[in-house]
Formats: sequence, C-alpha cells, structure tokens
Amino acid sequence: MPAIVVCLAILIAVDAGVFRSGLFESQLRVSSPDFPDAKLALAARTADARVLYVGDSTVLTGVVPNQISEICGCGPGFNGAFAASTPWLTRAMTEQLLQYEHPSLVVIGVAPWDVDDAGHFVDSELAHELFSPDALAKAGIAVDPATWIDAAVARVSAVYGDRLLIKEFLTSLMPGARYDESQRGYYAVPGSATSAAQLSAEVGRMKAVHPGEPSPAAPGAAVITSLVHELRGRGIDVAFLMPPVHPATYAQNGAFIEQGDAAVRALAAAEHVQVIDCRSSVTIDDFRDLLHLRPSGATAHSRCVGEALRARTAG
Amino acid sequence: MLFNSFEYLLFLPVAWALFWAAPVRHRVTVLLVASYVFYASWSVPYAAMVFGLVVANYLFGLALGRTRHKRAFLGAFIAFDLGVLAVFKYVDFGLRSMAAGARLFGVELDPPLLQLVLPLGISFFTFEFIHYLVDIYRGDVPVHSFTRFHVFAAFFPTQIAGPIKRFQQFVPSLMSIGHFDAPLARDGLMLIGRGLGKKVLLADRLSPFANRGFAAAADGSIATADAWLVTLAFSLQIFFDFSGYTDIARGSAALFGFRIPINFDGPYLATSIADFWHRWHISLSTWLRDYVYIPLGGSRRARIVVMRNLLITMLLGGLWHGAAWHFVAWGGLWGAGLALHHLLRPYIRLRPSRLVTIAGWAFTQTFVLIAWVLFRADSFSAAAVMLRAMAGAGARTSLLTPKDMLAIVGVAVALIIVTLLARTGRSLPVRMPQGALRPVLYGSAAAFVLLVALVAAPTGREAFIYFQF
Repeated sequence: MPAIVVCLAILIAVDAGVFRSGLFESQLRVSSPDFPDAKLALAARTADARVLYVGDSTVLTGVVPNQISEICGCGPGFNGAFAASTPWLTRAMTEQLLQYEHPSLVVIGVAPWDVDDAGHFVDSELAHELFSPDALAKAGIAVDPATWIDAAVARVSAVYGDRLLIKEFLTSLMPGARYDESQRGYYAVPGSATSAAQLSAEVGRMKAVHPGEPSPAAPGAAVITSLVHELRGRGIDVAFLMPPVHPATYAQNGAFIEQGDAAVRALAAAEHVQVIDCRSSVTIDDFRDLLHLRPSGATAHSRCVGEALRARTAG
Repeated sequence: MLFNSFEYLLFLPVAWALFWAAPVRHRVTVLLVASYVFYASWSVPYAAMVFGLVVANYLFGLALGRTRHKRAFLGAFIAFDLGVLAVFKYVDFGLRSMAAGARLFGVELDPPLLQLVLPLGISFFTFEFIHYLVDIYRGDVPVHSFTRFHVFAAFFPTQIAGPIKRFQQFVPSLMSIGHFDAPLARDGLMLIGRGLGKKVLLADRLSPFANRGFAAAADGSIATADAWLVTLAFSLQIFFDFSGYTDIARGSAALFGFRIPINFDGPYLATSIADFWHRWHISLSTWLRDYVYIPLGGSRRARIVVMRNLLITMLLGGLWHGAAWHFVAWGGLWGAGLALHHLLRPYIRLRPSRLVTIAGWAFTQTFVLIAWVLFRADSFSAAAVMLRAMAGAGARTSLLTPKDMLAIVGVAVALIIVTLLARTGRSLPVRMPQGALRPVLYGSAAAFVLLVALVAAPTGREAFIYFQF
C-alpha cells in the first residue's frame, strides 16, 4: 500500500507540477513544426505576430516570415501552416492560432487541390489533433469509443494528453535535431527529390488523391469562404496565396492546375480578397520536390510575397 | 489492444490484481478470461475462432497420444492447422500469383479473392500448435488438462507476436502460480519499461527515416548514402520495435509468474550469417530448426542435401513472415547465404583473431542490411532501386541531412556499445534498500513505468511491426 501511495503521489506531482503548471510548455522544444500541436506550442511563444500565414505544406515550406517582415513593413509574422492540411483543418487551425496570435492580416494558402470538387472532410490523425470528439461528430465523422476514451483520459492525465509533444521533445534532443524557433514556423523539408521518377510518381499521387475538378463551388471553397467571413467578422484582413508548383506538374497535370488557378481567382473575386501570386519568382532549381521549395526558393518566394504585402499596405 | 496503448495500460494492472487476488485454484481461469478479453477487444468472432482452434488441437493432442497411426494422424492434424492459416493468409496470395503468372502467358485471369482479415497472431499460435502435435508424435505426453493447454495456447502476453513458446517449459510453470514471486515481478516491470522505451524512444523515432527512404525508392530513385542509411535506420527500427515488443511480452508474463525465454541475443553483434540466426528471433529460428530443418534431414546429410534443407527452411521462414514474394525472396536470400556458408566453411579456416572477428562482423552485418531491403521494400521494383543505389548507382538527390545521418549512425554506434557493455556481465552495484525506502523505490519504479507507458501510448499508426505477421 505505501508503494501505491508513493506511485500516485509521483504521478500527481509530475502531472500538476510539470504539465499543468506550464513548465513543460515553457521548456518545450520540437524537432519539426509540421504538425498542429507543435505549431500551436510555438505560437504560444510567438504571440507578437501581426501577419499569420496558414495553409498546407506549400505554405509551410514556401513562406519565411522573417524575410517577408523585412520587406513588407507589416510587422512580424508567424507561419502556422502544416503538412497535409485541408481547408477544414486550416480553418480549425486558424481558429486555434487566434487564441494566441492577434494578427491584422491572415494570408491563406489556397491551392488548386483545395478547391477540388471531390474534396470533403476526412477523418485523420491531424483532424484528431485539431477537433474534439464532439466537433468530429458534428462534422459527420463516426467517432469510435476509443476516441472518446482517449479524450477523457487526456483530460485526466496531462502526460497522456501531451504525449505527442513529449515524443517530439525527446526527438529534439537527438544531435542537431532541434528546430530553430527564430524561423517563426517556417520549415525547410530536408533533402531533395527531383529525379524524373520521383516527380512523376508524385504527380500520379496528386491525380489519385484529387480526382475531381477544381471549382469555386467546391466544398473546400465553401470552407475557405466561411473562414474569410469569420476573420473579417473579427476585424482581420485576408489575402490568398497561390503556391508555386514544379514545372513537371504543369507538364503532366496542367489542366488541373490551370482550372484550379481559375477557381481560386474566381473565389477571391467573389469575396473581394487579394490574390498574391509569386509563382514566377522561383525557378526550377528552387524546388525540393514537386510542391515544396528549397530554402533558396522559399527566400525568393517570400521576398516577392513581402513586396506584394508592402504594395498592399502602401495602397 | 496494442501493448503501447492506454487500453493495455488499464487492462494489465486490472488483470494482474484479479489474478493474484483470486484463490490459487481460480487463477488460471482469471488468466484465460483476461486472455480472451485481450483478444476479443480486437475481434469477438476471431476470439471465438481461437477458442475453436484450441479445442481442436487439444483433442488432436489426446488422439495423437493414443493412436497407433501416429504418422497419418499427425499429417492430418498439421494439414488442418496449416489449412486454417492458409485460408486466412495465403489463399489470396496464391490466387493473385496465379493470375500474375497467367498474365505472363497472355492469359487474363480474375480469380475471386477471399479478402479475409488476418487474425492477429495466427502465424504464432499455429506454430505453437504444430510444435505441440509434433512433440507428442515424437513421444511427449499430451497435456491432459484442457485448462492448462488452453492457457498455453491463449496466453495473452505472447499470443499476438510471440515469443513462440514450448509447452514443455510453459505448462509446468503453471505449478508456480501459487505464490507471488516479487523479484520476478520487479524484473517484469523493468522489462515492460525497457520495452516501452525501445518502442517509443527509438523505434518510433527511427521509422520516419526508413519510411521516407523506402517511399523514395518506391518512387524510383534514392541516393547511395541515403539508401545505406535508411536501410540502417530500418534495421535499427525493426530491432527496437520487435525486441521492445518481446520485452513487454516477457515482462507482462513475469508479472503473472511466468518466465518466457529470450528472443534476441545481440543480433547486430553476429560475426557470421549462421550466428545471426542464433541471435535474432530465436523462438522462430529454433522452431524452424526443430520442425522444418531437422525433419528434412538436418545437417547430417550430404552437403548438397544440407544446402537444400537450409534453402527450404529459410524460404518457408520468409513466407511465414508474410504472403508476398518479397518476403519469400528475403527468406531465399538468407537460405542461399546459409547454404553458401555451409559450403565454404570447411575450406575457409582462419586463425581466430580480432581482425577476423571484425571482418566477419562487417561482412555479416552488410549481408543483414542487404537482406532487410527485401524485407522492407513494398515491391521488387522498389527493392531493386534501393539495391542499385546501395551498389553505387544512386540518384543525385539527397533525402537525409547531415543531422539525420548523425542521428542514425549515432543510434547504431550506441546500440553496439551498449550491447557490448551488457555482455561483459558487469552490473551496477545497486543494493535493494530495506525498511521505509523499499516502498519508495517500488512506488517510484511503478510510477516511472506508468509515465513511460502514458507517453508511449500511440498517437497514430505506431503499431508493432510484427503484429502484421
């Protein structure tokens, strides 16, 4: 019995003293900021952002807030995008980021695949990070009992609730693995994958994952529109950012991209949102793979975005 | 219910408490109920099927013990067990392969597939059944108590992914559940903590490197250095994953008073191809030795026959891992390697020295890495891309950064050092405290294991690799 008491006392002390007290959050380090929980933890320490960039991995790897801020005169920024985001996840993420950040402008990355008319809200690990079981059920997802139990246990045990971040923290302790927080959410995907075979395989996957046709009336477009309205309701300005894609995409799936461009521009026109299109600022050598920029490309792209935002401020 | 899931974290202490709180005569029943709760948490119909197989094999054992026609009965019973395994695991594979083969001759076949979900652990408990039946055929006495046989077959810590038990060791240990063995339970807790640590701190951290690299190979190209390093990352991942699982299985069994044999013995220190299989997945390699290799004639035959036996044994070992040709190729490569080792061993006699040992180690581990490519790659084309890259014909692209490379090599070096240190037999001079400090130590240890378990709980697809077999 004394051993059980000691065990419980330690568990309660760790839970309350380390995780509920904010100590863990203040000391948290991550190895990569490409998932929602990590992004939110970083956002909690970067609360001075005046411009928020949200979207999927094209924004994550293509927008360097520090580069933009140097040029635009619009204040510090924070890149709140994460890999494999969808309009549904981006809206949820933006809402949660606004608990920490108080921006005057939100730049939403809107890609052709975001306005694919076959798109719909999909249950995923990322969705579980951003949505409570209640919210998932409201969104039409069949929530299994394990998800409800998981959420209940996470409420009881902060160690359990924060396990993803704890694992991330442990990863960051590996040599050289710690993410540089001064990058303010920007992340360069390591390595390069630009062989013809790799690019072709990625285009094939893009076609398989997005089988529909881009349209301003697509379900994803409706979600983006609702986010625009919500942000404006809070007094926050909005702009759309069109992501650069590798020329191989145009060669192999050009019709989809062109239709997507038209759909995004139509959506922006309907909502009177500025479109920032800096795709011409990058060259083929700036791509790390089909959709993501190398640091050199991200810098060039961000400078162009900075110019666009400066013009917007001046205008 | 995964070993690193919250459900298991709740299940294990409840089962443990009920087991030791129950009167001695009811403990086996508690263990059986716990085992079926464990299995049924995944699938109730399949738990019922497991029960059916246990009943069948219990009756087979009794019949085999009595009949004069042992050989015929054994053949029929093994055919039944293998038939069940085949229906779930190999029929669709056979049909698909047949269709693919026919396509080579311009014939289009579209055979109807069963598309059955593979029952968890079926490959493992089928092998336990076969071991039981063969050993009775060879002269062992069948287990007459259905309950005891039932626990042997359905024991939850080892049911899903081994180690593959032997009834001669397991059933007698049921006699020792009358008293609580505190040192064994403490060792069990430590094993569970160590297993969770291997899984969450190492295996799951290494998997992104391997996934990224093999995905690139599947896409058609990978750089030479990346190919070697992601394969190294996978070899470390599968070791930490499977040996971590085994630690948790052995630790869980120890909490109930059972000693389950080890499954790994420093495999990445192996200095010859044969040596590796004395150290890796030992319960499988000894099973294959006893129930495939020796019945085929073992090593007391002409050299060419022995080489054939090695090849057949390892091909079957590969096929056991999965119904896919790349697993067969993996087994075939090992079979060829072992056969070649058997062929050349009499001609290559080197005086033992440190240099020879290091050369043997380097050659063996290179072979192990090359073989893992066939195991991990999803297709032959991906494996070919990876192997070509390893041979120097890699792409100019590079997936891994210097810090990724440092992390992978660092873990490998650390594993070698820790394994070597552990084998020196030195242990820290720690004495168990007495008096008031004792519960503090036990409480702290339990809290540590619980905290590791809470952190280890999966957040996504972090299942153990060997669950799929």
